[in-house]
Amino acid sequence: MPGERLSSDESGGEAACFDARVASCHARLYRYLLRLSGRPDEAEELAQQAWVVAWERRGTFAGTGTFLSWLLAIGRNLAMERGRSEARRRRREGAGRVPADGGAVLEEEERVTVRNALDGMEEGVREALWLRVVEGLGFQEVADLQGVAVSTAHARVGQGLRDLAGRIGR
Amino acid sequence: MREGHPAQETLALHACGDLPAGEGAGFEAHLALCADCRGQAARLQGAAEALRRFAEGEPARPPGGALWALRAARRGRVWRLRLAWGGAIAAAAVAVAALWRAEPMFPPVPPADSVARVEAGRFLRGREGGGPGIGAGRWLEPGLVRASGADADLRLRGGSRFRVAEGSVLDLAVAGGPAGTSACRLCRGTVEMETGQGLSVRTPAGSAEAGSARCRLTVTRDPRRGYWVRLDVLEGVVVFRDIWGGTRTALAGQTVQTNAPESLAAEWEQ
Repeated sequence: MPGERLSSDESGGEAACFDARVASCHARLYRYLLRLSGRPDEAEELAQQAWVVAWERRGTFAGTGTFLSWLLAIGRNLAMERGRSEARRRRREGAGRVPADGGAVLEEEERVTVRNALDGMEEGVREALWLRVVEGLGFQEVADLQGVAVSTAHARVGQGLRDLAGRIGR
Repeated sequence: MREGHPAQETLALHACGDLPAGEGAGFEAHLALCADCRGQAARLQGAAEALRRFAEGEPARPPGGALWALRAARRGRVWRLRLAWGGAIAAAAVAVAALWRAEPMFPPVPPADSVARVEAGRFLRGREGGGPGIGAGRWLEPGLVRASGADADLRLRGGSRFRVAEGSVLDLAVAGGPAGTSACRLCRGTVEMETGQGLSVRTPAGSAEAGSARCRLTVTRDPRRGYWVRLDVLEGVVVFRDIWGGTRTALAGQTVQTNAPESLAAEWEQ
């Protein structure tokens, strides 16, 4: 939430507080980077680097936005610097596939549909949709992270939802 | 936008739960009367819910690697070997020295003063039983590949490449991943491999691949003869492909030796 603080000396020190952040946010950071990179191993690598960078730059966290959006921005920058986003491999195998277990066939079908829809989206649309709907970032945060106007973020999320709904409705 | 109907963006905002309070009442009233818009709103909401379900079903990654990375970063990214490992190091050095003595065509083992560094990555050191390292720029989770150096213990993920200082001894144990995905690039030194599900090690003279085996791979460079590789298979089967086009399958108890031209030295010394 805006205004949150990064450290709490009263609760065991800065490092312990930061480690608690890792425990609570790592899955979401990894999930986001997986969508950006398309590859689990790259996503994990980027996520680990992002945590180290976040630790090293913890003094720059102003607390004006959420810690999550700050962290995601670090991860995003790392991915961009390394050209991972542009080199995203649209492999439909491997990236987050969860095998069906017995009666979960319909759920698996939906997963395939959603994954295909995401793979087919323009990158900015996919990212905006994920950040808003899955990660719960506000439109302003999405816009800041992507470096676009809020109206563009609105349009991207709307486009992504319509694309996804169109796929699911087929 | 159709006359008298909400804009597409309004429907999207509604699906995200972001409709401004001032617009909510009028929007809901319209939905109550317009089956078309009601259907569109339901489809968009359904899409958002499906996306959330998809995200929840994504395989989670435990934060272990990230925590290791942070702890190492706080410790200055360098993990020094503790004194407790002095005995193990000495034993390893003696073992290597014995190996070299048994094979006079190789030069003697120089004092092992360093361990390994990761190519295209940052300096890497760790300690047995706990410390991570950085492999090819990434922090490494424990338990995937374990390497005990003459001066440190390394933990590498599959895909990491590293080079070993001459005279170092590394004990690698690979778990997970099909054969060939855990390629290591060994320039000089001795690597003892215990492979669970596969390991591929590239050397200047060729590559060794093991599905489930225990072997010792020694790479040395002589100023006059270039790189030489010796592969001793202790258990299992190892396939060695040299750069001359030959493929040799070595069984337990067998040894393979080959060399590489000096012209490769520059590439492998990088």
